[in-house]
Formats: sequence, structure tokens, C-alpha cells
Amino acid sequence: MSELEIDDLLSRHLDGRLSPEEARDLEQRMADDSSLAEVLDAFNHNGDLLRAHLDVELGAIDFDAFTQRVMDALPAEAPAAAPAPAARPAAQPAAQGLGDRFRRFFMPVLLGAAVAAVATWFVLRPGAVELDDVPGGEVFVDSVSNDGPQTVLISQPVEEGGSTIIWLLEDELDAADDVDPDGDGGASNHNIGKPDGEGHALPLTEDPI
Amino acid sequence: MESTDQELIARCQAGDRRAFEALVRLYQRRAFGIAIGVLRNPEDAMDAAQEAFVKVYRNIAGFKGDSSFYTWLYRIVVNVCIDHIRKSRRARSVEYDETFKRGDEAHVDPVVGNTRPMHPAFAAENKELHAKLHAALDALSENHRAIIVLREIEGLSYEEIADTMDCHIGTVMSRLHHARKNLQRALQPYLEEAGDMRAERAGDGVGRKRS
Repeated sequence: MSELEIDDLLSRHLDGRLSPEEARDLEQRMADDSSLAEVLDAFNHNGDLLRAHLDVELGAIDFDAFTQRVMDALPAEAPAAAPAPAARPAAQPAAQGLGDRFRRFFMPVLLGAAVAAVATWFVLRPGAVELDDVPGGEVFVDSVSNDGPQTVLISQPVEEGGSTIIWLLEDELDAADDVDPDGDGGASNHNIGKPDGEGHALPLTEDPI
Repeated sequence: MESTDQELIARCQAGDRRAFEALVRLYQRRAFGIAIGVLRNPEDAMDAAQEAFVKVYRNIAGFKGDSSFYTWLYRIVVNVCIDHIRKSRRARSVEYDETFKRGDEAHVDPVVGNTRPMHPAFAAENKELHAKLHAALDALSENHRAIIVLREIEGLSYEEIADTMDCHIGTVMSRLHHARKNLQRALQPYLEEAGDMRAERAGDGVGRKRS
């Protein structure tokens, strides 16, 4: 267990927030290492100092005068029956919080990928598309799906003995932007199929069937 | 929420300014304690606490009491303070430290009205510790200061702190132990030195008595 983790245990021990298992674990560690008790004492002592410190600062304030100052600063009109600064729901457990964070982080990405996938689908909709570095130069894109922030294009073999090709689109938005770069109404796929350099699509696997 | 709060809030919502004044008197010390804990400057803390109470007044008509009044108030105070820091980002510690260097009996500048003498516990030999604590708090981020003040001074639970700070309990635990550790690191050299000096003085005293 790292020092950081032990400090976390000590801090939560001070606040009575350890599980029985964690409490037993910490007690054992404190029995083995007397320096941990010193850290705990220091945390406790510093809390006392902090309270005394702020007492000093609070002791210098004339709160009667402060009350008057606040009352003088209030608007003349009575508080409007505006929408409430509503109380938020109770704090969520950590595990749920992780889920929320995951959703917050990935939802925009997934939405972006979905939009790109649809755009890509329209790019490749004619079925057979030209790809510079694919032998034969023609791949029929069979399905488009999202894998996290990336879009996966899967092709079926176009001829007997061919391969299934899985393409991983790394820069979906650029690919989507390339739908009609010439403005001629036709789809362009020049960014697809270039595995490096300026290319935006990389072959992920190429498995013979 | 205590019935006193409920009654006062209901009267405030009906437009009773005297009831609001009673609420201010009830919570001003705590609101100011949080503000000065986060802002580290009594004048700024006074402004922030005042701004928070005015916000409370403006919005109290819509307060439904789903959460306790004090967590709502504290959230407003913390948000005002953090906004204040983000807007200004100016160093305040220098001028405030000067207050303590002067060695006046009243060690904190008069912010509003009269000041009172320094608490005896911090007079004379504790002035240095006071300054060290001030510097140690200054070294913490505003979020760490807010968390440690809400926990150590106000005694809020992790859930209440999470509600006040609009963060998850895991964040509360993490920030709290970092804040405690940083305070400990900042104060340890001084406390060890002070402990050694006290031990030496105690040793000298015993020696003299025996001679």
C-alpha cells in the first residue's frame, strides 16, 4: 500500500469513515509502524490548530456591524418568488460517480462517432469504393459500427478467397468532412484506405476467412 | 432543517426582512468562517459573505427546503469565494502578513466596526504559529481550503461537503487527505522545532529548581 493510500486511510479514520475491514487493516499497520500514529496525531492536532486559528480571525470581526452591512445591501423589494435554486439530490456513491464520469466523458465522443459513422455510411453507401492500398482496389463496406471514439468499418470479401477487412477510422470528422470536397455532388473517399501519413483510416485486422 | 430555520425562511419568503436579519445573525459567523478560510483575507471574506447573503435573500422565495439551509448557504458562500479567487487571482497574503508583523494588540485589521484583542491562546509565543498556519493555508488550493474548512471547522459530513462543493464523495475524501497532508508537511518543521524548544525550556527549568 502506498503512502498516499495510507494517508487516505488515516484521514478517513479520523472522520470515522473506514469500513470494518479497512479499520482492522489500519490498526494492524499502526501496530507495526508507530510513525502512522504520529501522522494521525498530526492530522488531529492540525485540525485543532486550524479551529483556534480561525477563532482568532473571527474574534476580530464585529458581527453586529456586519449584519447591518448585509441588511443595507439587500434590495428594497421583497424576494421574488423565482424558480428555486433547488436543492440537489443527495451525493452519489463513488461507484455511481464513476459511471457518471464515464458517461460524461464518452457520450460526446460516442455521439460524434455516431454522426461520423452515418456520414461515412453515406460516403461508402454505393457499396464498392476505391481504396488506394487494397489489392484489387475495391472493398464493399458491409457494416459501420462504433468502438469508443472510433468508427469501425467491416467489409465482406468481394470475391472468393478474399478477406474480411476491418477498418478503424481514427478521424471520423475529417472523413465526414470529405463527403464532397469537390462540391460536385459526388462522394470522395480519398482519405480512406491510407494507412499512414495523411490517411485517416487504418486497417485494424485483415483476417482470411 | 431545524424548525427555527424553517420558521425564519417561511417568514423571509413572505417578505419579512426582520426574519432575514435573524437568519443572517444565526449564520453569519459560520459563513464568514468559511469565506475567510477560503479567501485568507478578511476584507474579501466580508465582501464574499455579504454577497452570499444577498444572493440568498434574492433566491429565498424559491428555496423549498429539500436540503438543509446551511448546506445551501455554504454552497453559495463557497461558490462566491471561488469565483472571487478566479476573478482576481491577486496575492493577498503580503498585506495580511504585515498585520501580524506589526505586533499590535489587535492583530487583525478592523474590517467592520471595532476589533477585539487577539485570543490569549495566540498572543505572544503563538503569533509565529498563527503566521505559519496562515502561510500553510495560503499554500493550499482554494478547493482544498474549502474542503478542510467545511470538515474541520464546520464539521460537515462527506455527503454534505459533496453537496456543498458539487463534487463526488470520492473527490471529497481525496481532497481532504491531500489538504491534511499538505498542512502537516507545512507545519511539521515548525511544530517539531517548537516542541524541541519547549522541551529545552522545561529541561532548563527543572535544572534551575534543582540547583
